[in-house]
Amino acid sequence: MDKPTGKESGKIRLTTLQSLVPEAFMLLVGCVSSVVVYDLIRGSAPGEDVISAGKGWLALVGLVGGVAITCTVLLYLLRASVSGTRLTRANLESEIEHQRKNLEAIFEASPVGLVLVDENTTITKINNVAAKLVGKSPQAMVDVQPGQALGCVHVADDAAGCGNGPLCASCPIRAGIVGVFTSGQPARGLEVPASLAIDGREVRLWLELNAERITLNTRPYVLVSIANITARKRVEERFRVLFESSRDALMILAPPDWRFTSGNPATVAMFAARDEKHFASLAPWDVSPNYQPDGQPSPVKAREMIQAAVREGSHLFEWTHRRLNGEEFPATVLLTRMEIAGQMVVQATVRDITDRKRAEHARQASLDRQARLNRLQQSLLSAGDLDDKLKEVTDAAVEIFDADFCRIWLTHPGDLCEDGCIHADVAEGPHVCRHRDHCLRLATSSGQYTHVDGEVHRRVPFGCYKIGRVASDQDRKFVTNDVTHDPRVHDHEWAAKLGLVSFAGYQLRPPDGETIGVLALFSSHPISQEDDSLLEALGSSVAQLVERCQAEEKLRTAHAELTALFEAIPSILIALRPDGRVARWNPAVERVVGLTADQAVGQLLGECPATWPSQTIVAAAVKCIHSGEQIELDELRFTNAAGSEGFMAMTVNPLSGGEIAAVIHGADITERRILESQLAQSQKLEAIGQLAAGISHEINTPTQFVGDNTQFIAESIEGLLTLIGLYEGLLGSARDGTIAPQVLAEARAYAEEIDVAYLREEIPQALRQSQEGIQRVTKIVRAMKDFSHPNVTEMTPVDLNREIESTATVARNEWKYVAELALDLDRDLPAVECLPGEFNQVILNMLTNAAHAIGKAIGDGMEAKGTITISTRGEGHWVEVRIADTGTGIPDEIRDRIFDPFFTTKEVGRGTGQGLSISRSVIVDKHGGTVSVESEVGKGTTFVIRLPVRANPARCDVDTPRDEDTWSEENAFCLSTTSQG
Amino acid sequence: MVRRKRILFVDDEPRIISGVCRMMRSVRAEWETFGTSVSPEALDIVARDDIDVIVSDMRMPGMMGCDLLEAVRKRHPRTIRLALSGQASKVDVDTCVGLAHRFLSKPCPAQTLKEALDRARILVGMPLGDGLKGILGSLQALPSEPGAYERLQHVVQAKGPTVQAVTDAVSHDVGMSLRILQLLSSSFYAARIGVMSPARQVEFLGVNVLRRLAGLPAAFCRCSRPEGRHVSLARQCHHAGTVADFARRIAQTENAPQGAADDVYAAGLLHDVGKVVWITQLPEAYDAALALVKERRIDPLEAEYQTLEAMHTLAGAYLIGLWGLPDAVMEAAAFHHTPLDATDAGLIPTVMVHAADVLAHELAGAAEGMDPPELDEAALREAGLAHRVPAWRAACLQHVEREMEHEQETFVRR
Repeated sequence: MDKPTGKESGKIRLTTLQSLVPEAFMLLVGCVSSVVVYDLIRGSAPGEDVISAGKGWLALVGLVGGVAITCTVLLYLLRASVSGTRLTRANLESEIEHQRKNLEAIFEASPVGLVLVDENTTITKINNVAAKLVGKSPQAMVDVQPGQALGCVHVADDAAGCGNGPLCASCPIRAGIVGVFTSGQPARGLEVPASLAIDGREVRLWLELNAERITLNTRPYVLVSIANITARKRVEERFRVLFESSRDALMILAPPDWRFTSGNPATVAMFAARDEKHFASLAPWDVSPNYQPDGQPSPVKAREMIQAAVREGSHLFEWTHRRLNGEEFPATVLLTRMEIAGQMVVQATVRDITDRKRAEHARQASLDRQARLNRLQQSLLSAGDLDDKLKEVTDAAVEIFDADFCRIWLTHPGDLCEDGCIHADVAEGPHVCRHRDHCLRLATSSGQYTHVDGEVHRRVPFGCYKIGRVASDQDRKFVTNDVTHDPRVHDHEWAAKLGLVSFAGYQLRPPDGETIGVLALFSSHPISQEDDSLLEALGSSVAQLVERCQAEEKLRTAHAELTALFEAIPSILIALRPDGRVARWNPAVERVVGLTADQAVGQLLGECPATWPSQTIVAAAVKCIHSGEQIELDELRFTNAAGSEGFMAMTVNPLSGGEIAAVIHGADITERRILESQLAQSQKLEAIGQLAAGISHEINTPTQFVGDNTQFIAESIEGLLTLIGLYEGLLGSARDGTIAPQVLAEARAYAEEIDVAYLREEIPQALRQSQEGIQRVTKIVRAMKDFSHPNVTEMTPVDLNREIESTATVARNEWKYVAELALDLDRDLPAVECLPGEFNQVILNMLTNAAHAIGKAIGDGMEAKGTITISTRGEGHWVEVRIADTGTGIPDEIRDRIFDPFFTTKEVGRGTGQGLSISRSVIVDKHGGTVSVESEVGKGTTFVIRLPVRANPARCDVDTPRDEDTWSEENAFCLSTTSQG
Repeated sequence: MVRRKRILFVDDEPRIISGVCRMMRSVRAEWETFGTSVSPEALDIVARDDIDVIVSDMRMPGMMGCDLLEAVRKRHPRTIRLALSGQASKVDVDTCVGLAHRFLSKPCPAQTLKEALDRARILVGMPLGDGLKGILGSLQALPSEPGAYERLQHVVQAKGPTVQAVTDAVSHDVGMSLRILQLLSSSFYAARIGVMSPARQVEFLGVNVLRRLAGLPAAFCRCSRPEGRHVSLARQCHHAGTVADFARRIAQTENAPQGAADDVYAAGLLHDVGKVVWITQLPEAYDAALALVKERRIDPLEAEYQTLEAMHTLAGAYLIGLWGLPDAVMEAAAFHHTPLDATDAGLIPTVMVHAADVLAHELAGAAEGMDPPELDEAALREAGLAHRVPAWRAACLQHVEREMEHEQETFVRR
């Protein structure tokens, strides 16, 4: 007896299975098939309706089986009787009748549709079950062709009716039945489609027919069992379609060696097998690499996986397969335990996940790249050198984007052409440098070349080549994946030689800013859209980085400049915190007081061991901070770093808000003081020199004519003496009484020669004028003595009139060419206590100014002279001196400034601008008097000096600091604003 | 009766006028004296009375002395202009440089004034045409050779010019030396010095004064047409420098005291100052004279006389005299071609300059193939120096050799 093999039990096609089942085991086979099918249905497409339909069908088939056995027994008996068994006729007939009744009872009671067909294929008997199939009564179906009985649609279609039409000739039911008649062989499990008209509707059914030829009353009949297998057929069809058409590879593995027993077309294709048969010769490890990614040998691991599925019912895992062509691929495998024909098998569902894996990999790579870029950007945010950071960017870009080069160029404002720049000499073509003050300088380079001083690349002209155009273009970027042909790339050969494929350049441009550079890279693989957008984002980060670094640089520079300024300022600068501690201390302070910033900063100012009057300074600072007023300190005596005594001037300036409460600004004014005294001395000398020149002129003039006159007198006297000699001769002759006529003639001639008449007239005049000249010289010399008062340094009662006369005499040369001098002096003027030398200096100043003013008014001296009037008046305890001129007058707008030091309207070299300033100082400060001015433009100016008769000079007391006005740890915060009193 | 020379004194102080008029009484035979204390009247007097010499105060009300002198220079260029200033400052020289031919300062001793007037009398009497006297009288500055002028400007504009640098710049230039000697001969200095070495001159005048003067176009100026057809100012100046050097060498050979050697140097430098006047003021006429010399081979002085109606010797002497330089310098200029005409006092310096001039021409002639002028043997004998000529020649040659060596060294060092 053939037992179904494992291989055969793997077959899904029930028809094939049943065809192999021997007759004796039909029932058994039928039951097994039912179970298999049931299980298959349950495993692959479970559904309540299908299950219930199956159940009904199972019951039917079981009964059919039982009936078939009975029939077989009966037929055997019938055959035995026919073959001569000794039975009596009556007995026989009775037996037959009995048997016939039994048979009919069984026939009618059969749960399977049974139809008995005669040789003409006419239905002779049909049971209820069969009749119910089409909803008719059994009586209505007897004696007609099965087609008519069942309501075959062909019967309605064809007028020739069932059995005679052309369609009926090809009807599988008819053919099956006729085949059984003619061959005598039974037909088993004939599955045929049937289109039946039931209740007027066309219903498509799948029927399963079993047909057996039997002989009844010697006539041949065919007993047909009919089962409606439509539901089963549908399920089966659906399963088949699923199995066959599944894109998933489905395959069955069977124990004990777990080789494949079948596989669907997807499986065959997946593993590149020739066909299913070829595939069915393989085991899982034949379609796997030797080892799985975890290192386990594939055969071992495969068995483990199968065991897990057998144990658990199903098991899902990843697996690396290898196609028969050697190609490996990742997959997910679902192993499901199932039984086929009572044999436990494992169905495997294999899904190729290469694409998913690739996508996953790509996504991971993209995430990694993003993360790397994020880290880079984080790193760019930290402080550091711009060049280093740019280098970091290009290095990272080369790595992240797998580029061949990555470079950054920056523009530098005001960056002029450098010597020997090869771009400067390009005179024609597309790459003429048109921006001589604006070009791109290579800042960093990574990849194949890392130097930044290449002759060509060191600088790129704005608007030229790729880089320059990226910098200047509207597009702000340029990306190409075809560098060897793109017309915008100027050097295709070079790109081809290096195997470059793509170029991407991005303007570095901070938001709302100008282009500050270019980020560019060359790569030997195409630049994806994702790369592009990442690079663009990187470019904008770099732009911001550069902008920020440049701003920081500016800030640093500004700070450095400020510090340098602070340190370079030659004046003393000390910044104080609100608590009186030193915040800043510039090198000038170090130089002056010999205390370094390190020693002083952080100390209380009052405790800094400086050799200056700390108390005074601290008191001023305290007052300044509390009152918010600027405090000036003049002439602080101090000892400088070299140990010499000196003077310092300071101002303490309040600063509100912030860490600095006050700034002490000071200067060592020792030099200035020395210079001032030297200047005063030299001014005195200059004034004396000028005066001396004027005086010498005054003296030279009389000296000249006194000299000429004495020369004349000397010559004349000589002649006169000679004449006297002649006259004496004549006198002698006269005494003798003998006057020789020739002697007389001689004397007369000589008298004539020397022109005695002339001499008589001229000599007295010459003598008089000479005396006058000598008097003039005497007067000048006396005035000089009066003017200078060399030994008077204290207040002395003085006749101001006399002083004024002397001064006017001494200064005569200053005014005599331009003015007449009128003196209107109060003869009753009291003697005034004053410093006569200084008073005379003032009068001289005023007189000189008056002469200059008149000189200006009368121009080149072609007009009449002006007048200077000096008048004096006594008014009780005061005297008034007025010096009036007829000069140009002082314009209103400068009248307030004429006493300011260094104010002058005279041309350079003519006046120092100190005269009136000193005059005021002398009168007001030293004598306690007043100076005022009355002036009218075009008419003249009058200076009015008022002096007290008794000296009462203004006094200037110097504030001395009080003890509490000092900072110390204890009272730093408890000083009141009124402490200064 | 010969017309007396006429002199006008201008001073705002009438006593000065009456005093000086009394003083002039002793020379009334030669001088007719005029005076005014009202400066604007002075111009009228000059015009009306054909004044030969004007002596003016500088600082006066009404019209300043410099304005008066400038007006006289323009309208009466022949009139000799003297400043008699009461100001004691050297600075005042600035204001009248180029305006007054000489500067006298008050109080001026009668002797000094009389000497100045003697000089003026000689000048007025010199047989030169009024036109030429006008040219010489109105000449503010004798133009310098361009290179020398620029060298001076460069030197004085440098920071802290040294005496040596200024000396180097001026000592070989005829125009500048003439100006410097004029200033030094003025009575601010004249009382103390005679002629001195160029370095001493610069030192004495003061680098600052020279610096200030260098900025005045009336003090130093640049020749605008230094090249004639037959002569160039540069060559003339070079010759003058050579003669000056030779003359000093000769004087040193005769063991002359330093002062005398410096005198001779100045005389040598200025001996052809008349030619500088020809070149810079009358270039066409002088070119014509030189053309005559070449074409007809006549005596150069004769040729000058034909085209210029004067000889450079006398013209130069006039200018030197006008500007108040020492007699010796004036004589050397006047008589370096005819040393026997010199006064006894001026004979030896004149002979030395004459010899230096001849030797310099000899040297240049040797180079250019021209006949050198001959030494005046009679004058040499008169001076008792005839036997010294070979020594002088040797000294001069030695000087030239040294100069050449020095130049080579300088050249090599550069």
